[in-house]
Amino acid sequence: MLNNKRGGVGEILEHVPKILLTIAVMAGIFLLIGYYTSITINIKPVEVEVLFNRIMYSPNCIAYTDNVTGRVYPGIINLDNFTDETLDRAINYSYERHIAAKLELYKTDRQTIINTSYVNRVWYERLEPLAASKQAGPASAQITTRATPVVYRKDGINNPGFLVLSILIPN
Amino acid sequence: MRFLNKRGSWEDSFMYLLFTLGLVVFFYFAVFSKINAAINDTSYQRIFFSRDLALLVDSLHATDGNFSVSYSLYTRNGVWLDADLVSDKVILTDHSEKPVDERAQVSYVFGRSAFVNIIPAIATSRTADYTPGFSVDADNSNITFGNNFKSDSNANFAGKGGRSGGAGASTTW
Repeated sequence: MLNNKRGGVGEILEHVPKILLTIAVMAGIFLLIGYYTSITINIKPVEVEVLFNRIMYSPNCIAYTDNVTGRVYPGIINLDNFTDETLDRAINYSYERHIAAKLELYKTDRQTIINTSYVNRVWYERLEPLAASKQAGPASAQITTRATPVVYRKDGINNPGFLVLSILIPN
Repeated sequence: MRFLNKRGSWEDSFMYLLFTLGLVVFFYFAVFSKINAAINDTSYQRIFFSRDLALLVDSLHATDGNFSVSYSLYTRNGVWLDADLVSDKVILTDHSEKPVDERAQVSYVFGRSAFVNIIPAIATSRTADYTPGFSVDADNSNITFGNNFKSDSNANFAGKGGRSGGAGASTTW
């Protein structure tokens, strides 16, 4: 072939479009496979629920625990335990930028704030401005708010109140 | 055309055919390898189970009492997964003889508590006695993977907080 007077480079060049078309078809098939193969799973709503339940129902957290029986009373908040230290001891993640929460305890008028505490305060305060402004992107976060009527216990006396949880999950 | 060329030869035709055949074989080999890899890929299963197990362990921190949740790592035939519970996360890997540190891992963190001890354990989707799952055991102080799997998926104890179906079979107090 190469000895042909009309052979050599010309014949090789004749195959180039064929090779390019083959590569293009292969790339198209690979892209289709990649596009329709989904391995992303969004569990943010579930994580919000799990954290909410842990805060509200866990022993050794904010819920009042009877000293004699050891029983936990969900919905009754021990004001002495309503602190950052208690929450961070009860719930902490090895990856700090995983989840954070702000707990605001109000009186029944929902205006007068009694106390505020945090789970992972540092990262909540860092990301709240971005989340509140609904900035998109991987550096931002989403806030989900849950509000529930509760009873808080102060000096042995039960008082009605309202708890607002803002749970922040970074993108 | 070369074939009609007075100076064309059978060698040219043969080389042309050989090249085309080579290209076709390469194309089919590459595409089918890619499809086969996509079918046998366990990434989705590992991602799913790591998150599901981590959320389950996270939820069990909120329990007050003794729980044993039967869990099934159901996978397609030929897929063999190991679930490794460590102090702060659940790690899913393809089963092999290598140590877990040397395998391709997918992990997900759960919330630790200063009052609950995580006992490290490894569970597998295929056991020697063909038990289809394992149990996630929790009392007030410890959480670990155990061998108390119960395959009765109808054990939906509404009054006792049980759940059934899917990856989690049954809960017993």
